[in-house]
Amino acid sequence: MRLTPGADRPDDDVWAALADPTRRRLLDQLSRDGPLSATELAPDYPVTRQAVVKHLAALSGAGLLTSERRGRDVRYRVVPGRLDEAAGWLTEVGASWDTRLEALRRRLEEPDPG
Amino acid sequence: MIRRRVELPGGPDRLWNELTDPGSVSGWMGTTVEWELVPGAPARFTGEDGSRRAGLVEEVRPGERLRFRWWPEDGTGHASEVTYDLEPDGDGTVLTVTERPTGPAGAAPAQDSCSWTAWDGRALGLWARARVGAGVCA
Repeated sequence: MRLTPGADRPDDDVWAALADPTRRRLLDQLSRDGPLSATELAPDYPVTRQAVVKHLAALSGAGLLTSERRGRDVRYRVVPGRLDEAAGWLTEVGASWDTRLEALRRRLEEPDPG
Repeated sequence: MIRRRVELPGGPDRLWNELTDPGSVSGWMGTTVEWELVPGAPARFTGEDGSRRAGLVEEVRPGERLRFRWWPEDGTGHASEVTYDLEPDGDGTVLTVTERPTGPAGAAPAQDSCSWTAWDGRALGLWARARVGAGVCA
């Protein structure tokens, strides 16, 4: 078993954080409407406020959110640029499949040799 | 995650052959593949540029679905899971390709082992736990 702990490469934390649909939704909402606190966010989610807090902590741990305390509230905002690496993967992998599928189509448009 | 859905000429059997037969795969994928179409079997991909990826066959339903994981052998970049879904459509076949990252390449299981016992969920984070839960090699 060859293992390299993911913590060695901070970008891996981004994927881990994005693995969860609730966290993706939180990220989306905060990028649109942020900064917001867990109390402000929680009513929009079918999970407890405590769960929302945990998800926000995971996103913060991955460097996707920053937080600031204002009075009794901690408000979260999206860190710009942190998603670039993930976006780069999507662009690169998507382009590879476009190329492959075009080549596959050309092969299938030839008469079936078998 | 990326997803591509394309309508291709010919029936599912011909498409399945193109997607799985090593002699055909190298004709469109930009990589050669060595694999046995058995869940849990190792795979190896060698790109036209010489880059090598290791892989693991996960699900094999001839003419319907193939699912595998692959990751750069040098441990850089991401491991990901690729799924081909085939659906007959008139004279043709609709192919849906899905690829989603599953975590750091270095955390991918060695291809000669399907034991999850050495996994350290804390070190590898959520993805690893999700994978253990999925029981790919069960």
